[in-house]
Amino acid sequence: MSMLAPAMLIARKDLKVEARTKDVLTSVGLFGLLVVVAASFSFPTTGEGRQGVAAGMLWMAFLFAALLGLGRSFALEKEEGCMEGLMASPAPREPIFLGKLFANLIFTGLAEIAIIPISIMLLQLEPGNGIWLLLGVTALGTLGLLTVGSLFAAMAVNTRTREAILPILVIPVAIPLLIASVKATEVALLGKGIGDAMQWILLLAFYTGTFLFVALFTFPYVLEE
Amino acid sequence: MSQTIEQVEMQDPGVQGWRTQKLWGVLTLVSMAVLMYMALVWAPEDSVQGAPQRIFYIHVPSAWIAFLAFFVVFVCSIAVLVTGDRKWDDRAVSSAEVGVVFTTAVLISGPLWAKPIWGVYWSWDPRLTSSFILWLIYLSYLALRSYVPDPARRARFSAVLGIVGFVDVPIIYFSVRWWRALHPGYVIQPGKVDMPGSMVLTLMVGLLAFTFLYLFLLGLRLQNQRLQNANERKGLE
Amino acid sequence: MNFLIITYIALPVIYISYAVYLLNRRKQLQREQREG
Repeated sequence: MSMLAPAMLIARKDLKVEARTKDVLTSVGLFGLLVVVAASFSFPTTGEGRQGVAAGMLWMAFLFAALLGLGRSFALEKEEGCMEGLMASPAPREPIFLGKLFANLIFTGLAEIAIIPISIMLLQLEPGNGIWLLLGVTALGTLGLLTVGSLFAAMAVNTRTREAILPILVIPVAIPLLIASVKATEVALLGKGIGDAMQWILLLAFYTGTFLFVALFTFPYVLEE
Repeated sequence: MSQTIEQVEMQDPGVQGWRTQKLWGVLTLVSMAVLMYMALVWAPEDSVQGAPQRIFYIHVPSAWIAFLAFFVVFVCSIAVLVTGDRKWDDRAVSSAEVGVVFTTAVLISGPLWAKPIWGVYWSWDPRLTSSFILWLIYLSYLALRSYVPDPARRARFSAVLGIVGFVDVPIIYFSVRWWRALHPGYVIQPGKVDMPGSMVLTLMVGLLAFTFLYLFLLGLRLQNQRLQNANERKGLE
Repeated sequence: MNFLIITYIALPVIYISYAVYLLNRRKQLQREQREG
């Protein structure tokens, strides 16, 4: 797999920079958390069906966190001019995509690891055994979201409004992913088994696989000068 | 002809295409007139839904043609990336804009049909909801274009969105359908199998009429795009 | 009945408006071309 090594290099670069500045992580983590807090004041968190509401709130938080992280991650790239350096080399473009994807997975993932337990506490959720399904769905859904998001973020930072246009590009395309993630998360929060969430997980897997393929095919064209 | 059609069109992009446009225009008017008669007068009234059912004859063809328009965007988008030839971008954006217009018609006729039948304007019906999401995607396609000043880059970026958006369509449809199937009161979509022949024929005429309309509007939009390109090129000199 | 009429008016209005917009834009672009 000649793609993985250079991809990991790029990811490590992002992670090292982040470890020093903690730029993306603090804004993303804090932002995601604040979204859940704001939502818990706005929406019902008690009574019947509150797992569904909580699932929706979680994924709104994850969505905004992911978009924010992606925007900053690719904007930094552009600001530093790293892209031009990478572009000048005859190296294949796909590892760049995978590297950015992996780095953002870490960023968003860390934010989610903070958001989930705090949300469970604030919203008085009791997933029980469903916690594993919850983590799995979060991972898979985030991967799908970041796949499409990374592709669009690479485009967005090269537009007149930079990252601002990213939500406009990502959200319509990501609606099926959000539906599947929220419904599967709801199953998890109700403490039910994976069987009830199977169709959603399959949809998430199909979504992620399909757009990973499309992204790898189209990413080189996005980077062209 | 001492010049190729391409050269003539380059000098005056309006000339060669205008005759074809008039043809599509006339065909559209004629077939639409026939459709109006068939849909409103000739076709029998539906025993269950009554008069509002006739909206079907302009709602459904609009939806099919919108889908066709976005498929054209998809194919042209791939061509943009693979050939790098800008003419595919002209075709893509033209079809996208026309597709948005057709989808708008779907989103307006849908609720107007739903209200008398189901009592509500919007019921998150899978097909209508999918159309709504599609509408949002291609609006974002048009929005993206306005934020990329460089033509070559604009073509590439639009192409990526044009590909991603269309690939998303089946996924959108199934996700919404499964989502709504969990909702209480979800009714399985009534199939079209029991339609009498006269209704099917009317629908087919509708499909033909709206195809002519698509070709007419697409041609006009494409000509405008070429005129705009030519003007921009002159402006750079 | 009302909804039927409204729809059969609304849809032509949408499509014809768009066609008119395209034709006007076309005139404008041709004018710019001559002046350029």
